[in-house]
Amino acid sequence: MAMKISKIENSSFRDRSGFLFYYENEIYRIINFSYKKQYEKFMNSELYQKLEEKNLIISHSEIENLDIDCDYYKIIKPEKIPFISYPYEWSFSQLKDAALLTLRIQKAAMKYGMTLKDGSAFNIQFHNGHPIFIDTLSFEIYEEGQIWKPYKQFCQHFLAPLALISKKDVRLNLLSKTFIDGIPIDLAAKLLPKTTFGNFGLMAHIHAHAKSQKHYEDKDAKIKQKTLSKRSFEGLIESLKSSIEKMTWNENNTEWGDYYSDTNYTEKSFEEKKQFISLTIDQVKPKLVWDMGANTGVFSRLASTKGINTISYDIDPLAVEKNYLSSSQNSEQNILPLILDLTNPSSGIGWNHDERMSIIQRGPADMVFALALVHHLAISNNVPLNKIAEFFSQISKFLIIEFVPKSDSQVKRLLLTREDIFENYDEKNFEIEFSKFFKIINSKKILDSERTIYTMENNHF
Amino acid sequence: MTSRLKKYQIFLLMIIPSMFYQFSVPDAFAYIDPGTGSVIIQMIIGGLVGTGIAVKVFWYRIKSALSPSSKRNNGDEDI
Repeated sequence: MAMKISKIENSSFRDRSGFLFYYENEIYRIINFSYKKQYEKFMNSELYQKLEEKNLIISHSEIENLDIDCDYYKIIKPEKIPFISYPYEWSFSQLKDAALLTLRIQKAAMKYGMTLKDGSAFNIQFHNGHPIFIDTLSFEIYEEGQIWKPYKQFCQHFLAPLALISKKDVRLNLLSKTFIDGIPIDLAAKLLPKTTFGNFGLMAHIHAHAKSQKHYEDKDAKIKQKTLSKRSFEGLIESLKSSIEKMTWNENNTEWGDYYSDTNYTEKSFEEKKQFISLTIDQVKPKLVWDMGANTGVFSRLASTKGINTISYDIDPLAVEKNYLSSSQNSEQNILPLILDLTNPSSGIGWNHDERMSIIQRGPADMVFALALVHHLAISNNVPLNKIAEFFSQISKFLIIEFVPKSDSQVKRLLLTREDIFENYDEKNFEIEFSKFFKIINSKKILDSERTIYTMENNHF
Repeated sequence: MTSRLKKYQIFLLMIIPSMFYQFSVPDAFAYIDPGTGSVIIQMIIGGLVGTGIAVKVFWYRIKSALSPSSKRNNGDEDI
């Protein structure tokens, strides 16, 4: 009897070439008959093998014996990515590397008579420390004279946010969260400083692009009849590549300061904290760790260097950028730095709130670190302790959490400019509230500090 | 500011005539909308840069023919 597909992945409905589905906790991709010719060319032209050899595309195997209750040409099983992240969670260099990978794949495809049919940043994931292309069905056969169909989408998903970060303000990358198909070109053109008129790449691909869109918005330019010579096609890709390669993010222009050297520990107490965490990791043996408020990832690396997949979140794009550049330079495989504002974490967005997953949907993690974090949530963001405990109970099986009391100089600093309305913010109440969701396994006062670190086990997972 | 705007106007003057140049016509199908203005501008930018690269390659060939010791750069890139 044919099996029913249990859950269709809701991010894959736009392209009619196939779709992703889950079966017994594994992910599969159905390829429809309409994509047969393209898939055969992709596999038989050696393009797939070349890309897979270089770890540029997710590897897959063809599945013969899965009896599914729908009509299809082929089922493939892609290698599973342990954690899905989205472009609005990436730092500048992550987005830049993802853009350059897309263009590299486009150029490779041309060598084998194929081309990309979309240019979405959601086609890229970070896996084993580097970006990888995950949409096996994004290729089509190149026909001399055809336009580069992904051009607009590529500019919206990659060029516009990179230019906005590079030339205006890093926070503008958050626009990618609102505009799920990328930042509109006319908006990017309006937001970019006038100095970018002097930059050929941005002048052409953003400013003139926006003008052209405006000029042709109500006109029938017989668009299906337009062609692009191969030389122009390759010129266009080269131009995008060179524009992106030249882009830098000068962090000195941002408001983010020297937070990184500003810690509240002596060397000895810092080491003690590290030892506590390392020991707990060895006892619990998590497969997936989330470090919330990871800064540049010092504590994340206690897990990732043990071979554990570790997501290293921070609200500060500069900390995440530094973390990524360092992991990339050292070819670290198991750490993924991401930007996350815990006071407004990534939610389920897109069609039916279901195209891109929320942070909670992507959990729970086997272990969560919340180090030097609670005071920021409780004092800076006014979140009551019971709500903080409730949130962490939804994302963690085990929790390593540090309580930072009012007597700590960092908390004193937070209270310096505001009224202290946090009468319940103390260690006793912290333990009471967290005990409603977790069992406190152990705790330790950190040497030479006012802080206490806890290991907790979730009562529900 | 004024000189920048002038630069922009010069650029538009260069590209507008080519907007009306028509090529031959195979049908284009895509599951995403390539967008009319985006197609026109890519033809212009592609044309300009493509021609620029061709001239550059031609120039390098002349240069390397004149000085055989100079390193050959054919712009080929590994996948």
